[in-house]
Amino acid sequence: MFTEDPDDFLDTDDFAVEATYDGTTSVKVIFDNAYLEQVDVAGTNPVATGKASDFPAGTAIGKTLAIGAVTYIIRVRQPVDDGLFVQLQLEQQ
Amino acid sequence: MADHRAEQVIAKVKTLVTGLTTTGARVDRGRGEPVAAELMPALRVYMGSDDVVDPWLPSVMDSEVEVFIEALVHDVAANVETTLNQIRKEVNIALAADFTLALAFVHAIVEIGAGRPQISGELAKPAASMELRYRVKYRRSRTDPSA
Repeated sequence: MFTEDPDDFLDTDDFAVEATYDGTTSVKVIFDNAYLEQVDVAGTNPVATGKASDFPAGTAIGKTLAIGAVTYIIRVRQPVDDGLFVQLQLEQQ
Repeated sequence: MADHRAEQVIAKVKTLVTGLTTTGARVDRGRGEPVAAELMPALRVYMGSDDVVDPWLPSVMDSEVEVFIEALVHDVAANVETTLNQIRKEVNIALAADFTLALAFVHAIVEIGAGRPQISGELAKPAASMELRYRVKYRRSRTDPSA
């Protein structure tokens, strides 16, 4: 049986970056901050994809995620496909 | 030659809402593209329809031109609806200070209302817009809309 190892997808030699969850916990995420237009405002849409187990359902919303020098609040936790990963909608502080 | 009186009205509205406490000089007019988040909070002034309301006067015509002012915010420090209502208050005071807009040919500007705030949670910070609606009744020459 094939066993998925989510860490294989979060290699910092590829697309993942180190981040700090809830002020103390080191995690790896794939961070995107693409251009987005909403309500006539042109800005960016910061999202991070990480292991679901690093961002537990029911407790991750409202916690901080620091990426580089920027701290974000997790506003939405969206499971991806089979739920092994989650995409986090972030709000810049 | 002077501009069309409708143009003079819209230009005057833009002047009056420039320099307000919350939005400052971040006021544009007649722009279709979105405004950069780093330029918030901001206002955009648009002209609406311009309809003749009394065409039967001997040598003049009375018209009503719609004026739309879009308030835009992108902020995390304050609730975006609260900021929009603060902007709305400042715009209202600026435009109501003189109901003729200090234009001799204007009968009055009236506030029509405000649209439901449009809110986005997908940008880096909460963003929202709200349309403020006004109507201006003015008089113009039948033969020369600038006079």
